[in-house]
Amino acid sequence: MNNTHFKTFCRDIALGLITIITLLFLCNVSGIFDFEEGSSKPEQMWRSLAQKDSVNTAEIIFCGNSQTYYLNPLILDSITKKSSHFFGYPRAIIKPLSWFLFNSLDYLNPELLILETHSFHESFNSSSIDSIRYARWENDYPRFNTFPVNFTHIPWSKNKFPSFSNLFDINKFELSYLVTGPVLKNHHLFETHPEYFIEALFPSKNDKLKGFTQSPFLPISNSLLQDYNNDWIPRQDMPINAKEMQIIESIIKVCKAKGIKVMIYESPMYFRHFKPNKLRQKQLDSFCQRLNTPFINLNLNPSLTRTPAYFESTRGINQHLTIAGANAVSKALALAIVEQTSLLKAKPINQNYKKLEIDITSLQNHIIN
Amino acid sequence: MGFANLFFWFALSSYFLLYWTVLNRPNQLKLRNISLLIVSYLFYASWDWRFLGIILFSSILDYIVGIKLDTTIDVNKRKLLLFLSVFVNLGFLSVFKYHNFFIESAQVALNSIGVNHDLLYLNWVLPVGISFYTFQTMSYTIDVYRKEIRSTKDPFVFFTYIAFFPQLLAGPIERAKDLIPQFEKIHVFEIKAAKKAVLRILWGAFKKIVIANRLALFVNEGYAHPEQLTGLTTVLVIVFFVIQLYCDFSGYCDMAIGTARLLGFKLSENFTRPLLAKNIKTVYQRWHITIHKWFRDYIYFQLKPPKTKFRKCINVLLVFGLAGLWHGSGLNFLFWGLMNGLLILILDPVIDKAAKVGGKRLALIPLILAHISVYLSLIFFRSQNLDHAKSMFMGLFRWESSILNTNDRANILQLGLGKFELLFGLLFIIIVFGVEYYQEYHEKRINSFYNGNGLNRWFIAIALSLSIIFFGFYNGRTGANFNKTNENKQEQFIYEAF
Repeated sequence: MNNTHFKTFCRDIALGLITIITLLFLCNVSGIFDFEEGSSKPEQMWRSLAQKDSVNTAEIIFCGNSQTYYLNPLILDSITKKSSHFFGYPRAIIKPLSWFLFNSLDYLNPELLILETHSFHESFNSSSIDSIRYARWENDYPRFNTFPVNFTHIPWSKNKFPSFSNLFDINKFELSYLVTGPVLKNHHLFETHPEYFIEALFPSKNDKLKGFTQSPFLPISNSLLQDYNNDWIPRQDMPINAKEMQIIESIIKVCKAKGIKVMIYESPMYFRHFKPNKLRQKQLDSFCQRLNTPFINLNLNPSLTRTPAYFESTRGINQHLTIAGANAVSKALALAIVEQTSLLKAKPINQNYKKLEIDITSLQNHIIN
Repeated sequence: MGFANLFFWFALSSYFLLYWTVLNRPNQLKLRNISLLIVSYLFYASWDWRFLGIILFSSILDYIVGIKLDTTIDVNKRKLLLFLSVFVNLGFLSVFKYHNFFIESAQVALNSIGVNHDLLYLNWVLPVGISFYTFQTMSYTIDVYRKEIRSTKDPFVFFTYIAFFPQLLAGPIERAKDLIPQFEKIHVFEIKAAKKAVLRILWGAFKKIVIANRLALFVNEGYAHPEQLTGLTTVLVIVFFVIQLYCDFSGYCDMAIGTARLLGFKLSENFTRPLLAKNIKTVYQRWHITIHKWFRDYIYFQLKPPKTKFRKCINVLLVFGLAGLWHGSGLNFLFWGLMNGLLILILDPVIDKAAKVGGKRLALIPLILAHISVYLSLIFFRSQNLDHAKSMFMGLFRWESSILNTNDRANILQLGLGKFELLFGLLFIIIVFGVEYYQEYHEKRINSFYNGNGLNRWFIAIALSLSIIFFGFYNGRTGANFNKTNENKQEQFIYEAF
């Protein structure tokens, strides 16, 4: 055997492997491939917000799920004369959203927080808090600032390098994460979510849509309209659970203590598709009245709810807004905001804020556990 | 464990180092062959250790029969020995592969004459690669019987020839005269050949993991619901299956040939760009070459030379029918084989006419006819039975205007693949055909690539590796239609099932 040739071959192969491993390692630590389908939508939101400056300066924050996601920030901003930002993710529910809010309020400076009622549910199938993943952020809250993009700015880069002793604890999340690596796990990102990859690679600092996105839904079709006229049983929303009400109340109290006004609204659905629940309406009315918080139910606005072009053509429970619908709702909501905010007066910062903070911490722990 | 399993490559890397540093030494030939045999058996046992019994029995039998054939002069005894070998080997194959097919056919026949007696169906797993190594071992016995080769005295050489792991599962089916001498000598490490082998393995993996596995999702979805396909999607499913099959099997062969070459062995080529063939004859001269040669040498040439056209037709149909049945037990495989034979017989005059008259335009006729007929015939290959094949054919006549509807187009065209998964798939198919076009018509450039600047090859190797990692459909992928059922099939090669 020719030893020199064999050694040269082995060297070339080793060089190739080192190159590939280095590239994969760099991709791993870059955080570009830190992507989770479904259950970790909150994580995506967290990361997305951490990379954006617009959320820091937003004066109105819209907190909710896909019912709010498709609103038009240009219309909202032009009518309210304030800058808006979306804070949430599709399928979001109030439990994890409150976690995000409590951990972000120190970094955000909104004048007004707007909560949407469709997120006041107990749970959606695939949306839950993964305490291990959330725990990774405990010492690394989103940096809502303008650091230049460099290696240290990569989200959670510190967490990617667990201490040496941790490596020997096979039960630790970090080891499996380091070994399997997000690259191998999410290698399909180029093809399945190219927009996410591009956004992660070239984060858009000046986010024109401000966390919102354009609605992809097509308006109600003729066949669905026919179904509505036949034997359609409209969806009826249930009253909100006491547990969720408690969370909403905490959010309102914390915000008010910090001088942030809060408003609640309900996004509309087509009047045949969705029938507002009177009990729920009553419940929210009295709740908001007690906390001196405005509540706007857009389902009671017939100019919105009776226009089929405004709503998604779906036979499913959750009906979203179309582009036209999102524009109309944005306009109606923005006008309501202007009207309501002029009536509202922000209360001074609560002197018992310290006590409130302890309550929040215990609530936060309760949510994670 | 197979070529699409990362563990295999880790294990092979370790064995590769051991092989060239310790085992492949002039005074350790036997040790090297024993190590190859152990590795091959371990590789085979990784599917199911019980399969080892069959391969071991076949090997022992043919080893003894081979030696006996060499020493026996009596013609009748020699015939008996050959019969014994062929009978036992085909017996194994029949029991495992064709038993249920024969029983099902007999059951239908009995029911048709009013006898309602339930026959015994076997619920046995088909040992992987049994069709391949059975034909390989039979070719050895027949060659020894014909005195074309001498029998092998060294049992380790013979046993390794039957079970040599790179080609054990799905070929290429090697002739004893080509492969056995390679076990009888020490190999010299050739750096150029080794680098070429690495590139070939990566190219094969690219074809399998990036293209074939991707198209499998589309094709599986299409064949699972043929009644829901429109004319256009039926055409796409049929075409994509041919490309999937080609990338899957030729990808396997590239990896097999490359792996063997890394250890210094040269295996036969099994594909020479069949999708660029100019007529149906050359399609089968370029597609699964070793099995077609096997049937030509051991069946067709053994039949009485045809004196009439009718006799020639019978011979051709017999050989192609058997080749079809070799692939699988089912009337659809038989039909597929017969259809191929029939197409060759029908298109033969067209090919001759085009060759005689000449001209580029006329040459297109056999080319187009060949491709259409091959693509259509493979519907029988992919279908589960004749009814299933019929449903696919029906789809070809279902042209609807719904494809013009933007809302429906994605659902109609993508069939379980995401938009970008489909678009990237098309891009990779173009790359494969582009490379094959160069191999076919610009051989010099391909040679200069292999002999020229090493940096180019190094970059191509890295690009192929990264493409496999980022665009591959392997375990763990959570793409459009990548459910658990599909995930488990990613490591399998189509021809492993034969």
